[in-house]
Amino acid sequence: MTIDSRKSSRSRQHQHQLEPSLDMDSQKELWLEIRSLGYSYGARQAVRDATFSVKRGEVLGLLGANGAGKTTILSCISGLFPNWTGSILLDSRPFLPAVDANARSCLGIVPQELAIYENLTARENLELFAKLFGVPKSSRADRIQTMLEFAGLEARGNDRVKTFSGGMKRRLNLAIGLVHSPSLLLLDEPTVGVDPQSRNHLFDAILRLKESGLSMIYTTHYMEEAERLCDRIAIVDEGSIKAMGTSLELAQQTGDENANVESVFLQLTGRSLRDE
Amino acid sequence: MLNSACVLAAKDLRIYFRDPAGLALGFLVPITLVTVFGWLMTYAFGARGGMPKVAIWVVDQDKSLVSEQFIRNLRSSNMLTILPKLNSPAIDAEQLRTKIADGDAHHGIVIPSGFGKSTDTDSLEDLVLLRDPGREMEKNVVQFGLLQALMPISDGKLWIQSVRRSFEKQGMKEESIALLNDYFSKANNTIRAFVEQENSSSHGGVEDAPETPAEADSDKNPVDAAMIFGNMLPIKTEEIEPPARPKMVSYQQAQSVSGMSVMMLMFGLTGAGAILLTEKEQGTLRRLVTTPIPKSSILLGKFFYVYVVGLTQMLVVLTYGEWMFRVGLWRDPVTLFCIVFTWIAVASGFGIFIASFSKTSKQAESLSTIVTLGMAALGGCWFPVQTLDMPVPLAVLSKSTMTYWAMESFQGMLWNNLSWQSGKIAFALLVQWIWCLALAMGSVYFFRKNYFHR
Repeated sequence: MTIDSRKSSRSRQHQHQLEPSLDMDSQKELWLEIRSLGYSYGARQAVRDATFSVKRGEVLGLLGANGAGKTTILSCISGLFPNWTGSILLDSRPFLPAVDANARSCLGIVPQELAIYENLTARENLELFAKLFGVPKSSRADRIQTMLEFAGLEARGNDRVKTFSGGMKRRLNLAIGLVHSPSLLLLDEPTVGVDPQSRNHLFDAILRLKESGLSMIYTTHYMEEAERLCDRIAIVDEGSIKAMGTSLELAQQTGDENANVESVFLQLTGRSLRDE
Repeated sequence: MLNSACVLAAKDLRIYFRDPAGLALGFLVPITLVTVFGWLMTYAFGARGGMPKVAIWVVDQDKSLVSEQFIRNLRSSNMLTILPKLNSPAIDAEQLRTKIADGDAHHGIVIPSGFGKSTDTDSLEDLVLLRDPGREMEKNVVQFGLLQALMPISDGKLWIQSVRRSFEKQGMKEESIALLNDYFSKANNTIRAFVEQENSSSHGGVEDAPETPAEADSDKNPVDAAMIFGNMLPIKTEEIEPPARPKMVSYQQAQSVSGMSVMMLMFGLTGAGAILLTEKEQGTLRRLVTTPIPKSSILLGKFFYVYVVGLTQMLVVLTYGEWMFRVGLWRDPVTLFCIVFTWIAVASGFGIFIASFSKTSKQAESLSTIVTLGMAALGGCWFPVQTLDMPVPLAVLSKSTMTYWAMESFQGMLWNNLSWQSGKIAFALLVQWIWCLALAMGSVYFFRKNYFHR
């Protein structure tokens, strides 16, 4: 799959050529590279010189404290914040979702907040985003049903979301991000505030996506989540990447191969409170 | 319990005072309303209170010294605004009739040839009062104003003639009128002597003044003062009404239906437009922005939503208004739809603009209240500003509001019975579409600025 941010064509035909899918063949072509990414909120530098990459079919964890810059990095990649510095490349070509609709079609986003319409049913929520992402009408109903089953909501699909529990809403939040079969999924702390059962369901769902070869960037401040779900972990602190690698590689960087991710994290970022 | 309540109140106050923009707007609402309404009422009723000045056109066919003096007296009246204004071109009687038929004027007085000479005789030439019968509210003010201006031009003689005329019209016998005429001549002399005495000395009183027949009987037989004054006036009245105006409709009904429809739609649609802020605050907007659709389609989608809400509200209000008051809304459906579609577009644009401009729901709420009520007052939704003689800056301010032009179009249809092709309504619609375009451009600008730049 190739994505050229310079192309301005937003025709359906072209979009369908780029139709993202979970199959492995298309995933092999994907390669996301972030170089010297920087972003400021006014005078405050939220992200500085962040450089990392996501391999095809890989789950990269961004592990950091609250306010470390994880969400800002995802916002830059997804095009929500357009005025970042540095470069974002997909398959060695500029990746600019802020101005390129085709680039946005490749992305699935699961925001930290529950970005769902409470007065619509689960099915209506999925249908809305399926339409907006241009999922063909012929396959839309099947795709929505698949997503309801994926989220374990097939029995409640026609109920309004406001009647759902927090965990059900979180699962729907994830399903909406997947309804258009994206090539790259950005998950921003998707398990915040959910009960252990729903959390495990989400973990299982993410692992199934990982097995299907979907590339993901997963932000969290829970060490065990990062260890369990991610192939590699980037430790983010004060807007920059402090270290990156597998759990073992990170432990080796501290000189203690038996160290767990939490002790590596604390060693690299210190024990002082992050009160920004 | 009281302590806990105080603690909670202190917390809420602390939060309240920590939103400076919302706080400022909260104070601005009453200040703006007091200013706008105070200003308008000053020009409507005068600083010391009273009735609003009524506009009346004058056509002078006599062009005598007497008629000129009469017009000067009219101009000095604190009840009337005389048109055309000084140094403006005069109009003739036919032009005045056309103006009234078109709804551009509601009262006019024609001073016929020979009126000046007749003031020296016992038979006063009748003035011709052209009036729109739907403007009943202004009728009495006009009569008082005319009487006030007529009396001084004949050194009191007209007063006697006028009283005599009034009695004649009420069917009094000639002999009785002659007796009364003699009595009034004496009374007139007494009054003149009294005035002269007042002028030469600051002392004096009215204790010894003779009681007039009207005063004597007033307690026993309450009379319609307006009718008496009307009968006293040497006037022939000619009523001119737009041919298709429903007989039941009054100016006040047309004003109420128009004003409330225009203002309530603004309120309704700013509320609907706030859905944009709700989406921002709930986080769904961020998700929408990451879909492949253009950002502008998000704004356009909101506009369509607000438009449909407005259309529904308007249809309900207009149907109810017609059912309740029979103001003839549906007699020209094409014009009605042109006016309604246009105003909904403007009000929808306004709702979206407020949502795009504001950073929080609280700001949007306060801002929309200020602007809507301010524009409603200035534009004539609450009070017919078209009837006021406002100073130029206030008139310009009034005409610069979108509500003024909405009222022009609604009143043009409801009251003046004009169609969308008439110059008055077509121009009002054009101005509203310009407003709509400006609001759309502003919405796009602030949507990009406030929603995507952090």
